[in-house]
Amino acid sequence: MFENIGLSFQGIWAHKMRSFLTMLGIIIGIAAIIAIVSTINGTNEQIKQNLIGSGNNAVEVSLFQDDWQYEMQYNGIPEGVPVLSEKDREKILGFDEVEAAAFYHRRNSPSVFRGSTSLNGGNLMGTDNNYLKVYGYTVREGRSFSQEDLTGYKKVVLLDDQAAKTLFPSENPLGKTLEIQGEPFVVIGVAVQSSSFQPVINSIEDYYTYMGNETSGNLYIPYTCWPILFQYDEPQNVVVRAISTDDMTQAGKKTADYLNEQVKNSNNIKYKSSDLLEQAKNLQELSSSTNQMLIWIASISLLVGGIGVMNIMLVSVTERTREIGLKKALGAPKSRILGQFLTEAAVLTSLGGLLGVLAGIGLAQLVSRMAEIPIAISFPAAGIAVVFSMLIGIIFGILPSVKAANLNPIDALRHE
Amino acid sequence: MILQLEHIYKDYVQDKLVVPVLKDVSLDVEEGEYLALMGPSGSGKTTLMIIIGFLDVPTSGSYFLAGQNVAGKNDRALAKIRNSSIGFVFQSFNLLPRQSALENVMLPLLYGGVGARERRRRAEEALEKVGLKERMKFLPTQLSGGQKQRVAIARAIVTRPKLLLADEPTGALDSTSGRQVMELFAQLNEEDGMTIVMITHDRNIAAQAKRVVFIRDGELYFEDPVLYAPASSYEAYDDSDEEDLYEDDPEEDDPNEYDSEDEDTEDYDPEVSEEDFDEEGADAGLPDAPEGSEEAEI
Repeated sequence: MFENIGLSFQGIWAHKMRSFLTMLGIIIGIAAIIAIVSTINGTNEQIKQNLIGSGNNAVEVSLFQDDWQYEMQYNGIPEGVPVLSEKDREKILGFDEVEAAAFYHRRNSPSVFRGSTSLNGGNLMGTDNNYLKVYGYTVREGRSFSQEDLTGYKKVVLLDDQAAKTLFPSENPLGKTLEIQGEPFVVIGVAVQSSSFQPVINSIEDYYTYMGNETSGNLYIPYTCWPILFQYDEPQNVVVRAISTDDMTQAGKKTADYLNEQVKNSNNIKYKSSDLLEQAKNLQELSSSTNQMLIWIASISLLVGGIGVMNIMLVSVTERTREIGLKKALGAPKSRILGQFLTEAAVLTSLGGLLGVLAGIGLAQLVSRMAEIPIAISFPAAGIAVVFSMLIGIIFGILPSVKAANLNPIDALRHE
Repeated sequence: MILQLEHIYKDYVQDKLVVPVLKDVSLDVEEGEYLALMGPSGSGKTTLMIIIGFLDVPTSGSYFLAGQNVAGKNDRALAKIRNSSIGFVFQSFNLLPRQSALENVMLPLLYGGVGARERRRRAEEALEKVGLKERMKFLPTQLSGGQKQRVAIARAIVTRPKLLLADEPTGALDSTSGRQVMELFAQLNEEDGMTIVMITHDRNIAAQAKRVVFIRDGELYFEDPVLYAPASSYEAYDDSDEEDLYEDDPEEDDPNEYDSEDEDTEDYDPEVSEEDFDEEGADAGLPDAPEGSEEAEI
């Protein structure tokens, strides 16, 4: 075996130009595949990283009627859905995958005025400090909710950066009064999402995925004040933070299942988790399926390369007919001749595969520099590529090797 | 009895036409014999050697090597017998061009499954026997024709075979190198008791063997048939007649093409080289193996 490998390298080295040209098909095919896979991996890796950034592994669990989010401002309080208590929160926190949990009420496009300036769109949340914690908000100016705010039904409000800019374009919002749903609220602070939680935006698709729910701003008031503005006994939405990105789906599912145990509704109203991981997976699948096509095209190059190898091996067998005949005369059995040529083909294509991997990594680096596409080189993929090219050598080497092994020693010796 | 051929027939089929090449050949060779097989081109002598050397099987007849019937053996078994029992010496040396003399000599031991260290030891020993130990690292291209043939002989004897088969061993050599090779054969036969069967159509070479048998039109004669043949049939046997055969196949002039392109031609005695051409031309025109000469054009 080692003798065969040594012989193969000797043979390849003796015909450097021919060997290189033969390998070229394999090199191009493998390089293309490695470059494409690196790009796919890079994009997927980035999507995943963005997820961790954007939501801090947050999974929202909210009420749905069939496939549509249940809007209490239009549909009223759903039947048989209880208001959640601190006991429920503790229960949810008890799940292995859950790190933090918060309850909140939400209204889209609330009526909010600062003098004649209004907040168009945006969200109003009735919640507590847990919510800020789950989403990774820190209070940049002022303070967060105090215990007294919550128990004393204090009409105070926290703004996010966006809302602060919209409502107070030229003044410090702290201590100022806002009119929310006709009631006066005092601004106690401005909260911002810490920068490590900001997603990386490279394309318009990224923007829609991560920034789509970014509106003209969010306002947060103590959940105890919610009935003052809206109605009593509104069931809350839940947001949980999973321990890791991979646990997001499970954390959301467990929470929803727990909450649904308490729901007794005949109109198909249920808690459902909507996590970014799933959205990202869909996105990843979309980008993979286009790249899958590219991989198929690159595979054609491998096929062509394999045929090239077969062709050259056939030439080599013809050239070395005398050598084969001699070896047979000296007592080399068929299997040995077969092994020699199969090894030679496999060494040739493995070498091509190895060079292809290197070229592919180089190509991926080049593409990533020029087009600013993130790449991630996968070492298992590189290993598979080399093994695969070796297989190509063996498969396309079979025909020439069998031909060599079946040569009649006399005819082979007489061959001039 | 090391070699026992009984009623060997060999037919070749060419264009659906059966060409009988060997007709009822029976031959016994004792252990330690030095036999020359002589015959003109087309007589079937190469075919006979191919059969003795297990490179092909006879159409009918039985063949015993060291008392063992070798009929009906499969490819693997024949390869094993070739490897362990027979050493081949060819007219055109057939050394692997990219391997050193030592590596060439080690090759049969590799197929015989001998360990690396033992391979090297035995190959060096064989090269020492042929007087080329100091050149064992040389590539065939760096050796003269005579040296190449001696490396080939070392390769043939390295497995300590029962039988050494030589096909025109001096055919591609100048007279000095040829003499050296013949001396080596004599030494191997006398000192080591090796059985040698040598094919030649050169009377002077054949005369150095202990026994000469003749083959003509596929039949074996134990006395020179030419001496008793009518004058007309003598023509084909005559050296002067082979001029024609050479003209039939002028491309076949370099028997060493396989080994190297730049053969050290200065080693050749110009007067002898003419004869070399003749011999090779004669050999290439062998009608006893039609496929062989056809394939030469490919």
